[in-house]
Amino acid sequence: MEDIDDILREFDSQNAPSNAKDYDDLLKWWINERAAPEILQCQEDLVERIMTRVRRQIEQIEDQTGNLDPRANFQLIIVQTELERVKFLIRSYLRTRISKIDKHALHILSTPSIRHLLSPSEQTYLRTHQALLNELYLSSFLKNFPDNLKRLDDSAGGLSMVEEPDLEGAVFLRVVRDVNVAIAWENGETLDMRAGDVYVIRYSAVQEAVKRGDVELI
Amino acid sequence: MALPHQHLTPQEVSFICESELITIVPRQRLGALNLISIDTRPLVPPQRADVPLWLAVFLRKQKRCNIVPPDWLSVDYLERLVKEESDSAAFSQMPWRWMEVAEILLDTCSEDLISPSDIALHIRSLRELRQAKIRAGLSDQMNSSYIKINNLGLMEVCEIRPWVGKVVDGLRKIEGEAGSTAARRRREDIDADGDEDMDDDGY
Repeated sequence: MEDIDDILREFDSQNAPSNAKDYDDLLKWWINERAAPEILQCQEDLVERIMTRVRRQIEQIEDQTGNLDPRANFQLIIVQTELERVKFLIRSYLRTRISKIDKHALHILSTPSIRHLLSPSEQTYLRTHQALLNELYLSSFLKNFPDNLKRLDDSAGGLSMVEEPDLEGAVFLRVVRDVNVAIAWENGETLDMRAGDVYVIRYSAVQEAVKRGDVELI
Repeated sequence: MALPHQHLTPQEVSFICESELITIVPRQRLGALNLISIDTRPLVPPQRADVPLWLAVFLRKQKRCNIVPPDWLSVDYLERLVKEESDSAAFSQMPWRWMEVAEILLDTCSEDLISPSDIALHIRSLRELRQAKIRAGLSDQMNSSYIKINNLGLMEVCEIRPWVGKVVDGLRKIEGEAGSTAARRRREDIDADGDEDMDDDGY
């Protein structure tokens, strides 16, 4: 019986050789998302693949909960521990994105190129949440304001009400692949980064390198 | 779960570190596991196996395995590093997650290490030497475009992040203000009418 299980497992692992890579990728994008001032491309497929495995793992745990064999029980504890770790990672990843969506809601809504970085469910969340907020503001105080002060995206007085991410903020990063980045736009000064180097630099200088995966934020 | 902080917390750094692989010597058999992040091979004592650190710690706590410490976590190696660190002005090369790994291993499996108290002592002197260097060294290379901080571990980076990030941002603002004062003045002229409107409405 155990032999068949082993063969089946081997077959499984051949079919999904990217398990470890998927997890490492999610870890990497979670850290990137945490460190980047702007919202990054949603790793929808990656999250979906891992969620599928999470669901399968939960089913497996439910199937075997009645099993009284101490050895199987012990294995189950390990499986559960790992499940909780992965769930934490996914939750934190999605929450980081939601907190950014909340913070820069109007900016994201008004910029189609950024809106495309959101997953469909994130877009729905952004729209409905923003609609609810607008309604609340309107019914609780905006209705008493004069017309010219009712806008939430006003930019009078040189100050925009729409909060944008600070792309010039300092970020910490580690170089994955050798890359050349422009550090000063005016005089065309560039910087050669070697794999393994650690830098503190303006986010705007490495924005593209982060998206390409040449550097990882930390 | 609270809303994520802007930066990684020390707990999260150590969570990340727990995904690293480490070598163990199992004391008990354990079948292959189909986990989400990794498929482990069956553990058969006394064959060494590589497992994620969190699993190694878990098995170690139940006395089901011994952890094989990495090469650099030995008194000899660390003694050499401490000497190198105090002799040279540069940071000596350390594994990316040295502090976290050392902390976790000293905490959970000090019996698997040879003279753990000496190791802990050396780790601490390394840490203090490097912290002093960070403070002295960064003030020399502070500038608003970039700072290179090679050979600093992830935990060390997270320790200095709050103030280094602020200083770099502050420098950028000072430089930026010098450069853009003219531009802003122009913008203020254009918006002058808008400003007056605002004041009128305010009262």
